[in-house]
Amino acid sequence: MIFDAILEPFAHAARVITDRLHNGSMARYLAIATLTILAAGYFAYGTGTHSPGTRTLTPIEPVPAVGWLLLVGSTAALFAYHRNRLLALVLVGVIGLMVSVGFVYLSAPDLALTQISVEVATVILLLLALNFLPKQSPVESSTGRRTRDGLIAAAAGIGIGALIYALMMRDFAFSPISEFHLANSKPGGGGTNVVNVILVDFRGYDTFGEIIVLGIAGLVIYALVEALLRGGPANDRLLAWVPDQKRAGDRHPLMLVVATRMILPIAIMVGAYIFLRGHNEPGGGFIAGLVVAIATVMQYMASGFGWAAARQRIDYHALIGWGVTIAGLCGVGSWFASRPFLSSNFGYFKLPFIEKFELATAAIFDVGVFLTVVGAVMLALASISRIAIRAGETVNAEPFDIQPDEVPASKGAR
Amino acid sequence: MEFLVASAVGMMTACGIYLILRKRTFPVIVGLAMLTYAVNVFIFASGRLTIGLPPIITHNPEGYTDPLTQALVLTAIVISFGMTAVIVMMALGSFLETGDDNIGMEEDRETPAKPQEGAE
Amino acid sequence: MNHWIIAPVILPALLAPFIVLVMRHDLTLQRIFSTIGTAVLAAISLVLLYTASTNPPEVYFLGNWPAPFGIVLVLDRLSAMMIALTAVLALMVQLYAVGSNWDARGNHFHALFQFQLMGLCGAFLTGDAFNLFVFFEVLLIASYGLMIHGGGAKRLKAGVQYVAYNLVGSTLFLFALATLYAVTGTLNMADMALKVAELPAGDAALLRVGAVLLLLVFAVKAALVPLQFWLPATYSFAPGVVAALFAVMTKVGAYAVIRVFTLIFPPETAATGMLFAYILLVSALITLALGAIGVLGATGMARLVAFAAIGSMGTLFIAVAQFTPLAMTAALYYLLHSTLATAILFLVADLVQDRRGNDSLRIALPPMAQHGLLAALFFGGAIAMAGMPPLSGFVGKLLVLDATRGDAMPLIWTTILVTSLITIIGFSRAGSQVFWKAHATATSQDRPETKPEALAFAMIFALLAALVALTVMAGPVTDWLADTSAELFDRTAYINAVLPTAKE
Repeated sequence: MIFDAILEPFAHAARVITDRLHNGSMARYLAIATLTILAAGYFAYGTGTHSPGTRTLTPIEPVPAVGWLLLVGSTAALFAYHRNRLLALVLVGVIGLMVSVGFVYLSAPDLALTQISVEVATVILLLLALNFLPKQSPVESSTGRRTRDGLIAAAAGIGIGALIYALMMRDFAFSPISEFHLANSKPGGGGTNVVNVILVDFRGYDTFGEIIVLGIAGLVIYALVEALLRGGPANDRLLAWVPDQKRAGDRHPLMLVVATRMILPIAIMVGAYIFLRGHNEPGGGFIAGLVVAIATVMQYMASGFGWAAARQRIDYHALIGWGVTIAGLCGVGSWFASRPFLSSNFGYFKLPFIEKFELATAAIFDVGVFLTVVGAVMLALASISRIAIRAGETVNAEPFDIQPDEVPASKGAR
Repeated sequence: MEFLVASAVGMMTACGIYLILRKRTFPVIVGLAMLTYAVNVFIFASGRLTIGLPPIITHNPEGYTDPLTQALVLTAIVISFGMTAVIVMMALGSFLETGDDNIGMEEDRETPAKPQEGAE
Repeated sequence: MNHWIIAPVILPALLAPFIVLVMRHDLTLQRIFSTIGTAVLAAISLVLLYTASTNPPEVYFLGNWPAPFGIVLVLDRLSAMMIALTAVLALMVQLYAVGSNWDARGNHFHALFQFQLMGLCGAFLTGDAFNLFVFFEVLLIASYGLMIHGGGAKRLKAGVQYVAYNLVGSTLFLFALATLYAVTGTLNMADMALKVAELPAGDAALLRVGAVLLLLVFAVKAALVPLQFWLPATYSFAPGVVAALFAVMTKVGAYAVIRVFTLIFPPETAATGMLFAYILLVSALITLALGAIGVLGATGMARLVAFAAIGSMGTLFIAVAQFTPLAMTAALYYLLHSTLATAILFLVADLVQDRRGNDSLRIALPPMAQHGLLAALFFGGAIAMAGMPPLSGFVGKLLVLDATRGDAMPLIWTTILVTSLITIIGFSRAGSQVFWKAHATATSQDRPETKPEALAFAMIFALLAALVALTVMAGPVTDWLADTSAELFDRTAYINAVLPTAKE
């Protein structure tokens, strides 16, 4: 007891210190982290020797300059109007679009394709989530705090901008390893699209890790939604949920329904095309997977969850499982040729009536990528739909609110 | 062109940092997305800029742009997409469970009890 | 080429989708397959540990591409040790999860657990900087899933913070990697080491920026002040069993610092010099102090252990920051010890939590089932964690003190000794609150009927036995670790293995 009495003031002080520091304010934690990073980076730079770069600037042409204006303008608008969350999403969309246009201009067609398709999937996901979240962010911070945050943000922006400018202005001190990739893409990897050959061959192991990240994301989201809907405050809140905005009269607009259904086969064909040409031209399993997934999601959005779910029997868990397994086994397969994991092989074949074509084991790997991407994206979006159904969104078995082919009598009877 | 790219990266970074310092989950997620854009362009630009020389082998005498940084950006885009999907759903779950979308836990610190929901 | 090197990555990577595909609805099958998988992983890791201790570093060229153009895996003593530590800890934690029924409280526990192991093993094995990022992301996203396993409002909220903080960390990782690639033109760590040594002076400043950003990324993982803010809430709100597995997650940060800053940027590098050593030392001292104060002031048992874990990272990094073979030996010993000790304490906290419904240290609560046993286990873990004799924490701290040299020596000695005292007081106060005062308040109350989870208790005992073994075998273990740190500081073997054509 005496022991306790002596120590109590110290313990109390320790508690106050610890709790003051770790007070749960994420904004402060991140502000401290940003300042630390900036200070450490600046210190490291300031105490080293630096000679400015010598590369000549690439010219600025009018069209890219307009794109830059759009990008910077939307970013500035996002600063100002981020409280209107829907508008913020639109601005994010514009910024993403400008980034992908920039990629096209700066010789990166693969990046542009991926950026734009990921952009679409992300915005759809955020929109669906926003359906349940408040549509506005309230003003909570004082002007002083906002100014402070703005200064931190400006310092970070200037720091990163200056860093990349300094890097871009100098030549590589040594010849970069990518020269080997350019030289060996066709003879060693069997493809002319060097970016794709790097992804499925030179650095296929990275891609293997990357699709596993996507697969895990799908599983985590599924497990999370299961836990939410199992009963508890989230479930109660969903059951009592009242839409905070007016709903459109026609939930499944005719134009959208017809258009999406016509798009689906075309999108699947485009997906197959992008997939097949990936090794030699911009494309590949990942982009193809996103195109197909987005086309399928559009069926859900246009025709309703019930209608679309009734028309496909694919289990998304199985897609993820098979995707990762196929990619993994494709890598293991090279053991039997007594070569290391993920060694690829390719050959040229000739079938009657069509041109000579190439088959690469990397294509099997790409199938795994494709399946995982479709599975993960669909599992994530289907999980949101389950939340919506719990929130009282009725599921309709029919895609249209009006049935054009039904005889009027039976309609009256219903 | 280099100046335009560098200023765009800086601008997107600044916007991202400002948004992640907000107190609600949604702006923080948008801020993280902006940081992702910024870092993607940053990685891409670290391979130096070239105009009109895509890394598709065509016996182009002028050479090609750096394909490796592009491949790295592709990997980074995909990974950050997975991460964004997870944090969006977690933020939604947290909003539905607690009824507010604050990202801070200022009021939760004093109650050390761990939640035991889910115990059968 | 030895295909076993990649087995620790491939085995869980194929087992996890198999679990998802075949036995998604059958928990018993999941438990059997997942546990067998982890046991096999542990066996493989021990074989690899043996291989690595008898052979020079071995390299696995993925896709049969020569380094530095493809990705390589490197098995050396350090990576073999980390994998063995991870696999053995994972096996015990997994059996605990089965024994305590934690895996039944949500979906996909075992699949995520296997993916988590895959990410950890991949991060320890890779010899490529960007691939390290990829596997960091694999282990992080799996950890996000495990962190919110079972759901619950506060856990989700803490989970959002954890994910957001780590996403900022991942972004920083990419900034750092892009900077390093732009300066050196390579991603392979051994190749980067050669390039950094020959770098023109004019590039030094930018290289330093890239390197220091990388250091901060790892400092986030290792929870070094001032980047430790994510840890207390995450570890105290995560399921106990997951928190125990996370004991190895902070060590990923420590591993990465040790690997990168002995291989690529050793202290004799002209461009960087002792920059990192100073940053790390200052931060580590504050981390240790903050951890100890947190232990004394903690209001809940899990939070107490979380701060103890922060403090142990401080001690570990004090040793790392010396960048001498002797101190590195101490650091590696302390790393092994603190991983096991942290795991024990989180598991005990979980059992207390499970019996009482909360783990508050501010109110006296009635005794619980297996009260005496839990008290004994808690004090076993606490003695180890606080660094009291006779357990391995004492040996570890002695090694760290003994390896300390230079101007900062008095400061380091004082900090370690004072914080040890504070930690001991914190633990004994907490223990008396949870276990002793309980008897005083509940004389008439019936003891709650809880069946002892034999498997769960057995696993805590097994972890404690591992600590005892680490103490008893301190001599041979430190000899082995001395060879390991010698291998780290003599980079030639590693670089020659990865780049057979390069000469250094």
